[in-house]
Amino acid sequence: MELIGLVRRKAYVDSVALMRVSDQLRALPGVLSASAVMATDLNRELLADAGLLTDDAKTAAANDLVVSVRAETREAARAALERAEALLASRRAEEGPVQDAPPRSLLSAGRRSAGATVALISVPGPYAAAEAHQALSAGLHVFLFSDNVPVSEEIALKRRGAARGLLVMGPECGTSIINGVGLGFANRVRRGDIGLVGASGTGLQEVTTLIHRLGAGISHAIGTGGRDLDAAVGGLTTLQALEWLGRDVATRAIVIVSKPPSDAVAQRVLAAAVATGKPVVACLLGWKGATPAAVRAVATLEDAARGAVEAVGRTPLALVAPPPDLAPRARGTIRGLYTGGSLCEEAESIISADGHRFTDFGSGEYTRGRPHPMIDPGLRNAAVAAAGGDASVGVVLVDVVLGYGAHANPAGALASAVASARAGATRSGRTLHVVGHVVGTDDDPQRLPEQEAMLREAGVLVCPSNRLAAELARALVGAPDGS
Amino acid sequence: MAAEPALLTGRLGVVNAGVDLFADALTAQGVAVTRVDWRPPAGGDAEVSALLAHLWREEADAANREALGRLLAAQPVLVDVRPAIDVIPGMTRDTILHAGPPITWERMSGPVRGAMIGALLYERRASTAEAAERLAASGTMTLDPCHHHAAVGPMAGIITASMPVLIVENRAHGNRAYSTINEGLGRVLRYGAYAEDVIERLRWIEATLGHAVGAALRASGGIDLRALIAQALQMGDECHNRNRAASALLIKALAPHLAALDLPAAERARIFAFAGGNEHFFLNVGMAACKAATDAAHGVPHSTMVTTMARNGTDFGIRLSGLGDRWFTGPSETPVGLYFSGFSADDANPDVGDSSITETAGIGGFAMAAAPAIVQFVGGAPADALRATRLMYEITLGESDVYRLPTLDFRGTPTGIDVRLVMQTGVLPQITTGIAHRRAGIGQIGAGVVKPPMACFEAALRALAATRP
Repeated sequence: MELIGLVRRKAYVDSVALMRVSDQLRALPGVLSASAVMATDLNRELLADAGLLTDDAKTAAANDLVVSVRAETREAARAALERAEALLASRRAEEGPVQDAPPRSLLSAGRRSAGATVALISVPGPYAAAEAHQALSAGLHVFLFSDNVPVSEEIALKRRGAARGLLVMGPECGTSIINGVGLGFANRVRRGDIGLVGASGTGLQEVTTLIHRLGAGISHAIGTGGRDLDAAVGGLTTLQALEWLGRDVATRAIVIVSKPPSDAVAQRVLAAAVATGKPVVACLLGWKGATPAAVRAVATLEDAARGAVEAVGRTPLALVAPPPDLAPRARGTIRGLYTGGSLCEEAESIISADGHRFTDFGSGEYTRGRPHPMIDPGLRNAAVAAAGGDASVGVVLVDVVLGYGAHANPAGALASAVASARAGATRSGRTLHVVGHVVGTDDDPQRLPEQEAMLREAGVLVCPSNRLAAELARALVGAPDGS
Repeated sequence: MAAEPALLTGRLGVVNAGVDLFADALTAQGVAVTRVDWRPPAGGDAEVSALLAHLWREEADAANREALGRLLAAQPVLVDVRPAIDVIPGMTRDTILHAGPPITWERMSGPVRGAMIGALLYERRASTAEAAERLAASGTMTLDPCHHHAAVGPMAGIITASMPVLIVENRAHGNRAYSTINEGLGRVLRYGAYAEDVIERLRWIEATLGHAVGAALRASGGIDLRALIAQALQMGDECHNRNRAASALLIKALAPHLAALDLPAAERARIFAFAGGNEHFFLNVGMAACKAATDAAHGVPHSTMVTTMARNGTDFGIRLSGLGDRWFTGPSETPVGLYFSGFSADDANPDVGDSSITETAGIGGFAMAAAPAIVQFVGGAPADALRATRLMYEITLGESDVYRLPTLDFRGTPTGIDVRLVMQTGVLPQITTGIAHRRAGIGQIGAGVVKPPMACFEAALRALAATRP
């Protein structure tokens, strides 16, 4: 066993740095104990207690550095002292400037970005309410994409928001366009003077993109979440949004879009819309209640867009669908395979005849544990392909939704499914039509003209609105096959 | 017509929690997006998340503004030294105050028991260690946390009637806080040592040092501790594990008044040698300053702000401003750190002491960025210290406007721990600390970093949620 050491007179090193050196020395092979300390009275006592006080160290003073090593062999002790010298001399390599780690909460993120106004929340449902409440505490408006939020939480959030002058869009809010910025799934729509409020995500996307196609533009499109016009929620966000659009100078006409609302809430919301003093167009899908005279009630999303364009004093451009007599009549029924819920509902209500089947692949049963079909249309496209082998199907009716957040090339993905469906039908000697509508604009990242062209090439009868697509599908099965 | 809604007319800025796709879409639109490094709260416990949803509310937010406001506005001034029995509220001759949450003799760790024995010897309530132990265990003495008496103590944190205590007055709110005078390093009572030299030192502190410092303080008109701490942070202290600058500043402030006292030269020399030889001379003073500030912030109904973090060597306990005197405890963990020669983690006592009052008030481990000399405790590079402090902003309600960090462009230290943010982010407060030997009387064997158990915060969160109507 060997005890050796070194003493450096008047060589101050911080005690913590020395503890680190000691630690590393003790880890060396053959080293029994080691210590690097400033030789204060206390430290010399500690060294003595640990059997590490060399003769040199006994005379060292508080400003002297002592390194002592007890090792199994002289070589090991020497090696440890050399290592100590190296460690004491070394400086850590220069690091670049320390990057701020990303914020761990919405509150922190809000504090860090001075211009933050909106929290976009898409965390799993069970955690979403806490996040949204935190965002309100941070003074942020909320866009809540998450679903499976209890309705009691939705009400609490919306009441809190309203009391603080903050808008709570959602839960289950798919889209909004605020001051030209798309949140969630949103299309690039021309700026203009039509303001929208919608308890229906794809409904809002359809109306805003049709307004664009018809030659006008929008000020804002405010999503409220699908349950906002339910009796329990009472239209809290819709009423707040209507009041805001009423005060918004850029908005000259207002469109309300909704899935079937509660009757009492619909009445309250329409009255609030009239109170803005601006022209109002309402498309409350499936609602049959009495509409105030000042409101223009329409039954389809396309009519909502058209009505709004007329309300701001413009003449809507024409929307032209392929004429039904271009294609041979189909034998069989219509199979509606949709990624957008409101589009699916609208088509179903337009066709409104028995025997046809419609599936909304965005509904809960198809999205559990997988992305929304607007992001990943795989399941829907597989159903399109499968329809080729189903002798009961004469027409497949589909939607494609473009815009931010959506699949990068949804038409391309659908086209191959269409090709395989049509090939399957041909093999069994059937005629299978695929009728489709692309929700989008020429400014969308996926570019509407290219997406439509891709579908036409695959043999899809492409219509400029969901309403026209549904009507074409109905016409195609409306008469026996004439060929 | 009312003003136009700001959201509809202003420029949009977004913070994103969840799917990156939506943040990417905003970036593509040229909109500023801040992305949250989001993870499910409490390791994915949906029940905790539901509780959190009920605690992000106006009444809690308003209460926290009040509590944080009081914490930040505190003006601690060191005014005097007096015997504990004369000044500490509720102090009796039969009382032994200790660090941390309440604990019985049976559950006490070695160093705390040792310090209790030492205190009874010092008070002449027993003449042998065995007799002292019997008395401490007998149930006739009142064992109570310092925190219940506006006091704090480092390590074992023992305060008994005869001990002279520092008096810190919070001039903004009028409350006072107390702590003992630091005994120095090595074999000392706070680490559970009770040999004759330890007791002798305590008697000297009582007979000479306490009187001298008290007289000097009265002559000085009080020492502004807020200014002193602010200065020390700019001189490389974080004021928990490193107190060199603060101790020097304190002695500097006391020196002219100590020098002017009518004392024998030898006593005066011993006073200066003792104070100057103890690099933690300031620790207890700083702790009392923090206690004066956190006490002022305590007791705001609905507040989710932490006003106490303390350890008794067995349990770690926290208290919240909005939940009065209720403690929420979990097992005290062993610090991760560096050890003196001859010692290792096997020798370490679970974390002990009231000194985590410094972190509670926004300095100590929260001001790690101020103390490059001790960054070895958090990884070894100054960058690690900056990261450590930055992380604490994630769980705090605000920033000090007085305690500023040069290395972070003079940003204020992260202040006011919010139990909601701790539970939401899973980030625990970082405490810098000394490490005591698990056996009484051996003393400090290292230093390092420790975190409270998450269980304290979860229990506090549940209790908060239960108080809602």
